Amino acid sequence: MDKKKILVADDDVSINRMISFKLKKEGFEVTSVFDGKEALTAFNNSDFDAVILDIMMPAIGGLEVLIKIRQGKPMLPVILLSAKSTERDVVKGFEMGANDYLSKPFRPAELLIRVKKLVGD
Amino acid sequence: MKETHHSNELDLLENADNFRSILAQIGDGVYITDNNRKILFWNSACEEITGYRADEVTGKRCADNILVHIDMAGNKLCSTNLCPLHRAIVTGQPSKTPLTVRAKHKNGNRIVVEVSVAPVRNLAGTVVGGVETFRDVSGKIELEEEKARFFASLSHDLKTPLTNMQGYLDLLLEGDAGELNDIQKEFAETIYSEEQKLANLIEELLEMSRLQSADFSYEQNVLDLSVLIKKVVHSFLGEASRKGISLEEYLPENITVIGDGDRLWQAFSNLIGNAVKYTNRGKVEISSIYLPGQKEMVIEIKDTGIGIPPEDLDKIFKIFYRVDNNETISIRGTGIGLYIADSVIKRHEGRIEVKSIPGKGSIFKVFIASYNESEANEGR
Repeated sequence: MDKKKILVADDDVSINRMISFKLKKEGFEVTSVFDGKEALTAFNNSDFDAVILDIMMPAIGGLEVLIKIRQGKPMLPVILLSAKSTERDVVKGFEMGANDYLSKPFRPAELLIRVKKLVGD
Repeated sequence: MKETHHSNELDLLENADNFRSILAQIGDGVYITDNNRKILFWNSACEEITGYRADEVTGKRCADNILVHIDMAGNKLCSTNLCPLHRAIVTGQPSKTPLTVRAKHKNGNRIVVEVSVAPVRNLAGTVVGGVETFRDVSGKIELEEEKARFFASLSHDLKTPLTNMQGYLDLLLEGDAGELNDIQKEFAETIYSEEQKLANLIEELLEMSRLQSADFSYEQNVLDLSVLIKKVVHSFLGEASRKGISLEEYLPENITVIGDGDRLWQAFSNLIGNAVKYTNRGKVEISSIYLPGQKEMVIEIKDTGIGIPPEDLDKIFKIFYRVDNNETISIRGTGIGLYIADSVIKRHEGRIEVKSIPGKGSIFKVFIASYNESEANEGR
């Protein structure tokens, strides 16, 4: 069976590595990007089974990336990561079409469960 | 119609001469309208704060570009049910807490005013108009907004290292980087639990500063409390399953209230989070009681946790208060959570009641006014 492909976008190098380490270990193929612009380029250049998006990234934020993703792929599973956990942010994320939302700090194991659920693994 | 207005006007302004001179000198903006929100009286503080003279506005409706209220989320209130003056006139009830709204000075400058309203009754007790008082809080708000921006970036900066610490420790403990021996595991677990305490402290301190910085800018939006609580529950499912307890909600599809979504989120997040935190076996259940015709909703948060000793029951909502005994000593907390929940619910004109049996569990009941569409349905 082909490996499922996940795009991970977080500007913090360590958090990004932590996520991709966990996902790779579970058999996913991971593309790591470190800002919104890179995320859009990666999204336009290849097909992913799910996207993990940090909301607060320099230049182009996660929510903006999400809008662009939704224009091209309305059904692609997207999980938002955010340091904010206020209702307004969570609601905004869901309204813009996110499938799930995890606030920082989070456990990689929990993120893994949510990714698996969304990609039907 | 015209005649009715005229006589209302007379009723309203009967003996008004005395009042006029008193109200004219008051430092807060005070204006009085009839039931259609047509301005009858406009004091000098109103002139100063808004730039409009009394002779320019008398006879006009306040919504006609004179004192247009826009809530902090950017919604124009004047033509909706949420116009505070309209609500006071229709419900016959004064506002219990001041509302902070944006408005515009005649010269185009944006101002922020804090508004209180009340109905005006004639001698027979019939509502014949409304009175609104407001003060300019623009300077205060500017400072608060700066503070909020500061805390938002502080929050981000604090949470990034925490996320890394917690995440990598989790990878170690899950054996993702190779099996740890018993001592390595014990040490990693110690770091993990200490990090959790730190994370929790930071979360609560940020929450408190958020709450304080926006203390007077509570929003008043129509929102679905059911959806909000369901999302809060969702956010604690992970923690509940880790502890091996069940967390379930039995809420109806729709609970409409007027309030501030962020603050209510904080309140319910603290209440439900506490229930999960202090329950080691069994379950946490969230349900609601709604009596048709009643103006109040009850949300019940019931747990089978360690409970609260009777002598502590009346103190748990005090800031920094923590139940201090053998059972709570290992549970992290700052004593801010319930204080925040209580103050938020109070600001929504509600209250929290608690019953508890040590060793058996606790029930927190949140009473909150439900919003009835028909009560204020013809805002114009």
